[in-house]
Amino acid sequence: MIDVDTTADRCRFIVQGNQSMSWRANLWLAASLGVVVGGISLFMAAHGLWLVVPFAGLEIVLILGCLYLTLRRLSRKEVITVEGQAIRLEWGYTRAERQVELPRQWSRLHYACADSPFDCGELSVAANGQRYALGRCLNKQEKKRLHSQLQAALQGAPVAA
Amino acid sequence: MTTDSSHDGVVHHAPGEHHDHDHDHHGPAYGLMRWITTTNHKDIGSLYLWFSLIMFFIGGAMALVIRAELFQPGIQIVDPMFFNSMTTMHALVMIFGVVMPAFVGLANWMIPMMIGAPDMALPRLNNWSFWIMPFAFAILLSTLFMDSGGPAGGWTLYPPLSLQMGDSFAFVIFAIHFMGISSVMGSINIVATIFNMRAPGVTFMKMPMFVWTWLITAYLLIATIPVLAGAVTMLLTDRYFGTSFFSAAGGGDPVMFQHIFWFFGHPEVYILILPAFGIISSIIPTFARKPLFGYDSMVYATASIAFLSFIVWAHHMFTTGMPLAGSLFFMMSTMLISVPTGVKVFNWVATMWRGAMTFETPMLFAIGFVIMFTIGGLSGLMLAITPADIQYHDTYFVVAHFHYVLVPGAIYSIMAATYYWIPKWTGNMYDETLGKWHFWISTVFVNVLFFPMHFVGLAGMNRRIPDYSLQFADWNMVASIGAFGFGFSQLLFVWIVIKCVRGGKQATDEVWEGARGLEWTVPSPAPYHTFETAPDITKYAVR
Repeated sequence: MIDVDTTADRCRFIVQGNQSMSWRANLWLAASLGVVVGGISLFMAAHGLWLVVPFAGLEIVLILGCLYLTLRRLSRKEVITVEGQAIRLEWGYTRAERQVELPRQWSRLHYACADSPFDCGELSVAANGQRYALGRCLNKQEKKRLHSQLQAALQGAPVAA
Repeated sequence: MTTDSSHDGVVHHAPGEHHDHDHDHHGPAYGLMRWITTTNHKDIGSLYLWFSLIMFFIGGAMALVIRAELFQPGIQIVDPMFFNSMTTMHALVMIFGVVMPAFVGLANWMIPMMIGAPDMALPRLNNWSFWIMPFAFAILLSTLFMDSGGPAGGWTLYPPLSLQMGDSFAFVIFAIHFMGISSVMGSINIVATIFNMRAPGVTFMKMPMFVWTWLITAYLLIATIPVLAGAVTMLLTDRYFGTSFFSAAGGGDPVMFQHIFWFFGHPEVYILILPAFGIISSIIPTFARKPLFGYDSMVYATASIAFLSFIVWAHHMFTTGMPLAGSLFFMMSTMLISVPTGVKVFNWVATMWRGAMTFETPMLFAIGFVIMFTIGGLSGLMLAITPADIQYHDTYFVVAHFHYVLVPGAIYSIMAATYYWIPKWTGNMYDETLGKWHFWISTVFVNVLFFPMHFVGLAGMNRRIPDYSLQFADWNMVASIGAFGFGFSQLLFVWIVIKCVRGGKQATDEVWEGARGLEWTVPSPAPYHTFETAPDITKYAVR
């Protein structure tokens, strides 16, 4: 998934892996499971079988923990900002945990893709003898799109959405 | 200016700079540690499937002890206590050690590939889910070697009988807790994977039926495992800590255990069969070369069966006595399940209708499933009728019913799935001739084994007894011959699988002419890592 945010002097690409359900939808999922498991355990407890409750509680905690971990892993972002004379690459979850800045005028984009339906291609940016892979979580079509959009941004041309 | 050169994307490095390996594209490790530490969904799927196969022969050996003893009336081979241990352990092993792990193994192998995900959502949890299982079953089977012997009160562990067993009781409860933890972790992983890791475009109503049925199965497991955990823990505290949840002497109620057990136990029955429905719904369209008839109704029927499974538990308890309104409710709700189940059988038949059918081994097992599962379903319908059930209860008619549902039902679906997907797993075609022999020998013997049980059951032969009246002798002899025939014919299955793993004709990527779905777009054998980036599903049919 690529989100493009352009202003007059800055172009920002936010790249994120595939996540087929939002945080909110996952909360609904957890809530639905919690209601079912909690409801059953309370029904049992009402009939004197209260030892079901702690197991149900532990399970709900496990469900919440697992969904949180899954979503956290899937929400890792890569932000590519083309602004002024620099390209800034940032990686992180809710904030930039790692970042790299490359000189725009020395940066070159590389895109290579084998002629195979299973090869998703490799997009990278190189400058000063270093090369950074971009959009590794994207599929072939998305990588091609990111390549052409980044190319346009580096040349100062308008970026098509 | 470079402020960091992390593994997020460094392809080339300046001299002297820290180098992180690009670890996403490695293959499997080698040796034993590969299997112990693996987090790869395909490796873990294989582990589950091999574990299930081993347990199948352990549980099968127990069944043969039972049938050898029942070959003739009288006590011939084992003492009654050990016989009861065999019936109890056979059930626990087959349910928790064979059918469930086999379906989890198939889910591990196929679900990520079917939805275009790179792996399960929580790979380490997946590894734990599997590796708990061998320890759980080691504990369970070790009770057979303890002074007090293994559990002998039936897999349902009804008190007060189960509370009278020896000190191995605590080990059995401990093992059941481990199995439950494994199942819950596996289920949460499956739910998290299906909800969050579908490739773009794989909407819920485009998911293959196997994925749908597993999603609903995982819901059932998540809902019911805490109930089982609570139930067996209450048995433990009744036994060792002086509580009286199920002890009438202390003000408790043993029948309450039956309620709580079957509140878990009946959804468990559907946990054992819903993934089978998904497998059959994948195989029949492939070999009929037609899309599945009534996909939407299949999804809704599966969800309906899951919902109804929560409100039918007391049909296992008609003979305990219950108010008329109660028995009517549970009779009606049980009969209601035949409606969505009938929808499924109708859809499978309608898919085959006027299809360009071919009868490769997976299709033979799938058709065998449809016919014989329906026989089991119909006897289930007979058992749903309260006044009739009072006659059938605890007879061999019940044994015939659930074995028809579980052996030519669940086990046949697992075998069909193995034949269907093994070319994708190994890259080799299995021996079709031997596969067909396996099907026909199994089908003949499975009916020789279980069909006569209807007759002896209707004539009044009780289940869980090592000895019986003379009038049941002939059909018991026939059933025992069927048991040994069926048991030994499974050695052929092992040979076919091993032969296929070791080599054979190279499988194509599509494998089957009529196959549809993302799993058939990857090479055969499936690479160690698949769909590391989401596939473009506009080019392929997802189901």
